[in-house]
Amino acid sequence: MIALNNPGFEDVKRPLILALGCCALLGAWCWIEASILESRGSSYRSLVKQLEQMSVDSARVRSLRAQPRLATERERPNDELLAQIQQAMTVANIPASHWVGNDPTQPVRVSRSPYRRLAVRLMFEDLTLRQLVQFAYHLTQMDTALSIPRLRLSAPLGTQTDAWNVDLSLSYLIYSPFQSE
Amino acid sequence: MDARVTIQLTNAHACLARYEPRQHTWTRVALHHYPFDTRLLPREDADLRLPGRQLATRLCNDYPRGMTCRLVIPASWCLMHRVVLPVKRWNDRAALFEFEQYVPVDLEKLTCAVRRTGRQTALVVGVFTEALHAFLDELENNHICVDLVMVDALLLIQKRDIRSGMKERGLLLIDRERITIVLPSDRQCDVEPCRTVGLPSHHATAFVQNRVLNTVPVLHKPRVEWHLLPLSVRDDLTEITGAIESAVGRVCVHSEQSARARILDAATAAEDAVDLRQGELASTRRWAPIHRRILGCAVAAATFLLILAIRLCIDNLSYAAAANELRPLRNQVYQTVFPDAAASPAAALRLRSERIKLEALTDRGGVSARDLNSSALDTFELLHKVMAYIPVDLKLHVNELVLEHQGIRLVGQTTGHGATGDLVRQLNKAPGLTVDPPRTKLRKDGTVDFRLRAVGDSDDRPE
Repeated sequence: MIALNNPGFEDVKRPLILALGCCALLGAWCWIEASILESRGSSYRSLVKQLEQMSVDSARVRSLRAQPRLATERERPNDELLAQIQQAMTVANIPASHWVGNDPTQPVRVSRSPYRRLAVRLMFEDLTLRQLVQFAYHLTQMDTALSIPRLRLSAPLGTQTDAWNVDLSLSYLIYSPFQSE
Repeated sequence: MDARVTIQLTNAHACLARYEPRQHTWTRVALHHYPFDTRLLPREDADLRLPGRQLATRLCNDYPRGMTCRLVIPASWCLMHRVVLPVKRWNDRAALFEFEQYVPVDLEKLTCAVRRTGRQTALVVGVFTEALHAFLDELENNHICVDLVMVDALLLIQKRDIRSGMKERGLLLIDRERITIVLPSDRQCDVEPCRTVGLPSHHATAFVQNRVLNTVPVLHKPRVEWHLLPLSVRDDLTEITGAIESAVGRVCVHSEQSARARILDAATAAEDAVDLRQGELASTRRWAPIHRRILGCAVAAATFLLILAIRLCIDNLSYAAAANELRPLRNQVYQTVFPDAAASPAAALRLRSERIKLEALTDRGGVSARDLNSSALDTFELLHKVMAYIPVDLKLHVNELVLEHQGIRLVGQTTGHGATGDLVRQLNKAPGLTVDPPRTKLRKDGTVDFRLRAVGDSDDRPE
């Protein structure tokens, strides 16, 4: 229609081919740049979003670190726990001879929660209530994750003193999400 | 627009004019005189390159390169005749065949345009191909593109002019070198211009073409006898017009200047004018404007794409730079929480993990550790509550006291059933405690062993 076989076309043929070739190359360049731009734009937006989330998380973490802990990250070594108990006994003026036994158990999953509970049964003889309360208070103050879910006081047989045989359960929660099991 | 530029040639001058559409006027861009040569006459050896070479150079200087214009050539360069087809069925070839009888050369040497003027009549215009071709080539070589080639006499006498009341029976076009006589031949209003024949510049001779050529026998075509009506530009114009008027009737006389405006107007408006730019004279660059526009579009597209690509490239670099600025910020935020940790690509993930872990450790998680973990204070608060609600005056020997999540269990001795009942009533007053009826056993000494159980309410004593 536009007489491409016309001799006059020869005048513009070379520059036209050159221009069309440039168009093709530039089009390809544009396409590549647009693809990169889309990728980088997406990456940048996600980076900004991530940074915002990180700022929120960072503030939250700093705030949470100041909070008392109600669970531990890992199972404590037995020695560490016993040392804490002895320290609390010292503060409560409980002679070591009154501590007659302990019975640690294996951690047990608290039903459908990310926690496991580890309990240690402690047995004391001839403790006054004052000693008991001081012991429990200092122990739980030293470690906020520790709790005493069960306490059994029994009167020693054949005595009329205000001393008690104490059987208490000391427990703490271990944060252990399912994935890490 | 290019189409509004017209080059009008006479036998002595070339006028380049541009139409101003707003003012509806023509602006004469250039007027060049070129030396007249008898070789310009419509003969086989005519050499129109002579004016073409000079004119093209001059016109190119007067107007931008690559312009497109229309060319008006004088009627004296052409051979024209009205032909009557012997057959009723119209055919261009038949018209040319008829025309061949009236021309003194082989038809192959001419480029002809046929304009049908009636049912069986046509006006055929011929021009020597080689001569005009050379002229047009000269123009094109100087980047002057001619899209239409028209004849001035035919532009002056349009059919519609005649119908609208043209009374003149003839037309005289007088330029510096020639007098051209144009005659409508009969009452049918067909246009039958005459042909002029050039002589040395001080002579101009015209003859009434149709009368002469009608007498030319076909068989004697190579030896055409020209019936000349000798006229001279030196002669009194009155005598010339008188002579023509005596032959054909009233004549309208136009000088080169007076005819120019009409010719230029007609050249612009006459889209259906007889066009000799055909056949061998067709422009090799007829499509040049379209080709140039395509080229322009391609260049524009390439420019646009180049700008777009540069813009995209800049945007990419901007994004990369912005992202590079954000990465240290990310590390800074990360190190506010983990000061000793090295920068990590998974910083956000680790931070989030830390937050979730701490929420779980500090009773902020989805499952409350506080709900699961009864604190020591709760147990001892329960002990305190029990002690507080035991009547002071009650003589009570406690053998065993168990405090646990489910409640309390108390085993001991009282002085009697009444004392046991008092104990239960007082403990029931403690908020959050529901005391079950105790099991009792009366001993021989009158004291009562009891065993009671109190259950904590669910609101106060989580399971």
